[in-house]
Amino acid sequence: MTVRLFRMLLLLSALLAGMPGYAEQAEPLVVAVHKHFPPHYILDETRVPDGFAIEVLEEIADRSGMRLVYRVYDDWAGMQEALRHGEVDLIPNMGITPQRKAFAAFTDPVETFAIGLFVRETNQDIHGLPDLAGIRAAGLERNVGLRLLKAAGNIEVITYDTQEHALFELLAGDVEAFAYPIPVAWKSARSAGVEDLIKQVGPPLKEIKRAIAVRKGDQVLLERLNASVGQFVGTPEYARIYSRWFGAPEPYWTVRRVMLVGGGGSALLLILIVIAMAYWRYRTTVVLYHDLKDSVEERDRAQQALERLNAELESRVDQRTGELQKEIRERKETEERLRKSEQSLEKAQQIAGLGNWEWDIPSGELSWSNEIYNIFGLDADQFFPEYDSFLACIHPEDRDRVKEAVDRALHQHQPYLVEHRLLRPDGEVRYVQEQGEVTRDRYDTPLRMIGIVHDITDRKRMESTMVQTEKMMSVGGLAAGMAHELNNPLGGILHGLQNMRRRLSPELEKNLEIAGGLGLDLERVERYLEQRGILGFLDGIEDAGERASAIVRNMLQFSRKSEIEMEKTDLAQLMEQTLELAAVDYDLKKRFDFRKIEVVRELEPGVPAVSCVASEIQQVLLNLLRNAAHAFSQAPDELQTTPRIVIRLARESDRVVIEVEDNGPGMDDKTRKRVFEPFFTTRPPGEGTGLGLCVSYFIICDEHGGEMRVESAPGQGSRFIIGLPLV
Amino acid sequence: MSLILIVDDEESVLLNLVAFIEDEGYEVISASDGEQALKIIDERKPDLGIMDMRLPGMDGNELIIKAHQLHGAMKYLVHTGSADYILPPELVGIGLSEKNVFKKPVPDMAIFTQAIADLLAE
Repeated sequence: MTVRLFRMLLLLSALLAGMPGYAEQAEPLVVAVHKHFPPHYILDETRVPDGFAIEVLEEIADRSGMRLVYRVYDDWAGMQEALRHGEVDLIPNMGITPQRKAFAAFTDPVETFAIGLFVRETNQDIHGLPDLAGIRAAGLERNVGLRLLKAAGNIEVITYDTQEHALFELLAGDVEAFAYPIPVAWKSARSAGVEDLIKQVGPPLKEIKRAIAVRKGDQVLLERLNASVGQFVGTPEYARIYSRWFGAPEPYWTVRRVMLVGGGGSALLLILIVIAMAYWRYRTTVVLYHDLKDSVEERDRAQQALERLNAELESRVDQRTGELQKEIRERKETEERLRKSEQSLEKAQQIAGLGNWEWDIPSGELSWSNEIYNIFGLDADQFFPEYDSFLACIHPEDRDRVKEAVDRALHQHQPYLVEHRLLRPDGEVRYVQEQGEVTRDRYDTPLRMIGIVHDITDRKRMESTMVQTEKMMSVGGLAAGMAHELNNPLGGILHGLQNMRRRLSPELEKNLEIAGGLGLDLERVERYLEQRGILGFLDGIEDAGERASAIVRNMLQFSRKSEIEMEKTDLAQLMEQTLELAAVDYDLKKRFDFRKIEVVRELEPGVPAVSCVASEIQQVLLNLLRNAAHAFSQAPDELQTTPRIVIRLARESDRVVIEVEDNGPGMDDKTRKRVFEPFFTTRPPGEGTGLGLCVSYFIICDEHGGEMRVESAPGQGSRFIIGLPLV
Repeated sequence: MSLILIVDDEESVLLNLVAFIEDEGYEVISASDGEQALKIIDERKPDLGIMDMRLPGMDGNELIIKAHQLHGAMKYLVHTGSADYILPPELVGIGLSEKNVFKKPVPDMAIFTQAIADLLAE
């Protein structure tokens, strides 16, 4: 069902005074009008119905003494439905068709017009309906023209909802023809100022008559209306209304009429002609006046139509602009997504220490992701990656191996997987693993190689630390076992010495007794032993035995789990105590006066207490301080700077880190790698057991579950780093 | 004169301890394994034993427990080469404590004579 626009408009028609019978009518007639079907129906600015049909009806109603009330509808169907159901009494100017006669009765025609076919002025191909086969032609919804086009059967019919729209599309070339009531089409074209751009072609498609429709059976109303229709249609007033709504009518005086009239030749006729001419002149002046008035109004309407067309054009431009803007927006969004995805890829590569590369083999062009430059320690702006410049970055000892791996991948179809070192421009050595795939053409010629570089330096270091730890643990176990076995023979030596000394001593009663029995003077025996240095040898044996037993004691620490419970210990305080201990340490004083060393404390406040065996940690710290002091004593004079030890304490997430750093002569690579090994020492034989750092390592790593490592280079001092877990 | 039994499978240890403690004026007898030691304890009832822990056959702990059954009044010094030796509850049960334990190598044998004198005086 069509939605109806219920808008009641009351218009009182003037009653003709002194005409009895018409005054009897009390109820006004309800008239159905279309809300927009120019020029028959339009609504003026105050939404009051106006138009050719309305004006004609009002003239007729005027003559019949009828009052009218208008009801406005959206479409013809609604109007017809309303008439059928008696909701309205009449419809002015409805086309007379057999279908409509089924429910409506029509007055005598108030308007006769034809449906014409319109094309663009420039069109030379279409001369009538038969030329439209397969061509796009326009019609208006519910209009006879549309039905005629459709009835042709072979025309591509496009339906529009307004005449202006259809005309616009015709001129725009969207359709080739437009079938529409001829006067209305011209009127519309003139309003829009495009009457020169279209033409009507071929004979009219159909002639149609319009009349006032009443409900079928309403004979009384029909007769009353018919009486006035006969009076009004064809009068100058009717012509004036027609020309107002359909534009200028054809001139009254055609050549044919003049010829007809001229054939009479009588004086009376001449007089009549003069009078008629005078009257015509008067009428013409009136008509001209109205025409002028109309043309002003028409210009305004044309202006409005033009504005509508402009508005339509603008809305089209707006629509297209909107589409373009949407496209641009979508493209920007896509670019933004791409940029974000690239960013997160780059970040992922940075976190993983992984870069990707692509090598175009024919051109030799090599492209690297940013992370490769980072891994290689190169500046992306100053380095141009090529196969040769890539090879130059590889550690010289690994270069041939990488070349071979590339050759094998290119020529022997082997997977490219190689681990090698890089020698960065700053001298740092890093370990990387490379992996890649070769793309070939159909002749098996390598075209491209795509791959990744993974920085595995940290993993390598961790592996080497693990190997180191494992080695140390097995060495430790071995040492502990050996210590056990050595204890008994050592005991034999030391206890044997103790017995020998005592049994040579004249102070023991039993010695004198037995010596007396043999006729020996024990005091003389003792002098003999002294003079021959035998007592010195015994001292030597004892000294050696005690040293060996000290080594064994140390070695035993590798296997011994501390029996002392771990206690929460304030490491800052422990470090201070250890420094005090170092200052008075006799062994230390013998070699290097600890008080000459500048000690810098970088202790982070608020480091939590660590669960540990304080005496053992102290032993480790003291050992490190002793080593540092020893390092200063070894420094060549020309390198001698103010000896300085920096002691640091800091919290690092779930562990506490202690550092002991000296500015001594430092260690070369070989020494640094072996420094924790048992019995490894740089001191002259007899001066150190080579177990100090080894024991320290076990105390930290094995007993406390921590870690211990050293950083050092010749001339750069040494830094020992200890990490102890907080849990 | 108190009788001291020294048990050790290491000859040099036995030799030295026996000599040293004899020189201190005790009567000393030695054994190099548990079986031999138990026989001596059964026959001679020594006042005190210095017991090595790692012996061929029965170990020192077992030896002390069995010896205690044979001769309840006997006193003991544990002489061990294991740095991580812990006194088992059975020995604590018959009156031994940390002061009875000596870890090898004992730097000065006078430590033993002092401990022997202290224990025998109890």
